[in-house]
Amino acid sequence: MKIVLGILCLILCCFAGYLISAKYKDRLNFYLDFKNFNDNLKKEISFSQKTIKQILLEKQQNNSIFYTLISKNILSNENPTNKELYFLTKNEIDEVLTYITNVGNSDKNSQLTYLNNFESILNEKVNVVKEEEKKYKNLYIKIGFLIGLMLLIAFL
Amino acid sequence: MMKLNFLPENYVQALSFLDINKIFQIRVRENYPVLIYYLNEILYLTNEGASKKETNSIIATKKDISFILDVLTEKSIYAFNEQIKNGYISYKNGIRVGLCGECVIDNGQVVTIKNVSSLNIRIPHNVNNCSFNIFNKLLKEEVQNVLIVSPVFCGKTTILKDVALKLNENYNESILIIDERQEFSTITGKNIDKIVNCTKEYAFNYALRSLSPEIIITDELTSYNDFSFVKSAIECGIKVIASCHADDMKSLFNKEFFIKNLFNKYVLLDSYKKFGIIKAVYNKDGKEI
Repeated sequence: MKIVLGILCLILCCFAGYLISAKYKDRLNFYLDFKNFNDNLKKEISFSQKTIKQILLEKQQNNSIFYTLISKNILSNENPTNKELYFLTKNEIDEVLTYITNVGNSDKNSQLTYLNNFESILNEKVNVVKEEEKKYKNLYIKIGFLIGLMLLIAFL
Repeated sequence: MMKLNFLPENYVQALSFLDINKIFQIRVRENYPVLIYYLNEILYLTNEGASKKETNSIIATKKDISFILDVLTEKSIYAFNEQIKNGYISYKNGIRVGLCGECVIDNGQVVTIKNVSSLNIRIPHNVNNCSFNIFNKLLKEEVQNVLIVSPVFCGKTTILKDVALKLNENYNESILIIDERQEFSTITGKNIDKIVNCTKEYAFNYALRSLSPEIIITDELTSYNDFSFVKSAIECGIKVIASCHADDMKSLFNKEFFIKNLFNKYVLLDSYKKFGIIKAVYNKDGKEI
């Protein structure tokens, strides 16, 4: 019985570690989608001049947090809440909100300048977030495993 | 049924009490009552529909104007800036929204309009058979070069749209519509080609080189260049049916940019708010026939 309980604790602790590390995975996916949207928009503004709505409808990505948030803003005028962006810091949330407010809101040349500036910010951000994800994902799973192992030993 | 879902909800709700087929214009001016051009009347939009009295009228706010612009441009100003700097935005079904605000000038050119304070929403209507008389008198036997002349708001575009449909039905000739402002968006047919959203200069050059039209239909000749493009098309054997703003033949012939002897016939429409009624037809010398 003790062994079973100990193993259960080990599994639960590993799972908890995984859940905590999921925040870093969400951050990475969010910034990858953000970068992808920015690149797409730049391309579309340069050539076809499609509206953001048309771009979003063509590239529907239901599993993407970023696409869901920007779609909500463009299609139904709703701003993302802090809860939806739990994996971002306050400054990062402000940055995202500023982007969503300004995107599409000026002529072609000003938009391209704005998107180009954001491209370099996003490239840097994606690199940092990738590093964070690599570092913390394994770390939290390892910590979870170690705590679980300690509990297992304690039970025994 | 035409939808006006780019308007704020309270406007849509108020308009639902009215017959949309009778609305020709909606004027939205910041801090002033919303006006509806309803058949031959100008009415105030109220929560219960429309009224001749200003009391209980819906007052347009800055927020309303921003909302309308956001929906019209789908929050993508860059995609509409060419239209915006020319003072309008085209919407679905040929709806055209005129903009009034502060022009932003760069190097002597208007680059955009900001702080938009009023909107003139023009709602087009296809009036079936409104060109019946013009078509039967001037175009049924053979297609001629015809210029439709009238002051604003007399239905020149509506007539041109109906003429396009009649020519499409009655002739097996290639018709090119040069549609600078997406006003002909509802007009289609087996013989109809359309160049949309471009200048007359581009469209005429492009058409002469690659589309081989037999008939060209275009709206609002407003400059010497416009008349010159028409002239080169006519010299190439293309028939042109166009429109031009003028009160009467005298003011048309006195326009600096007007080129004589281009059109075989001139059709003068009756004045303000009598849509598509012919006042007189003139020959190429300006004599009434």
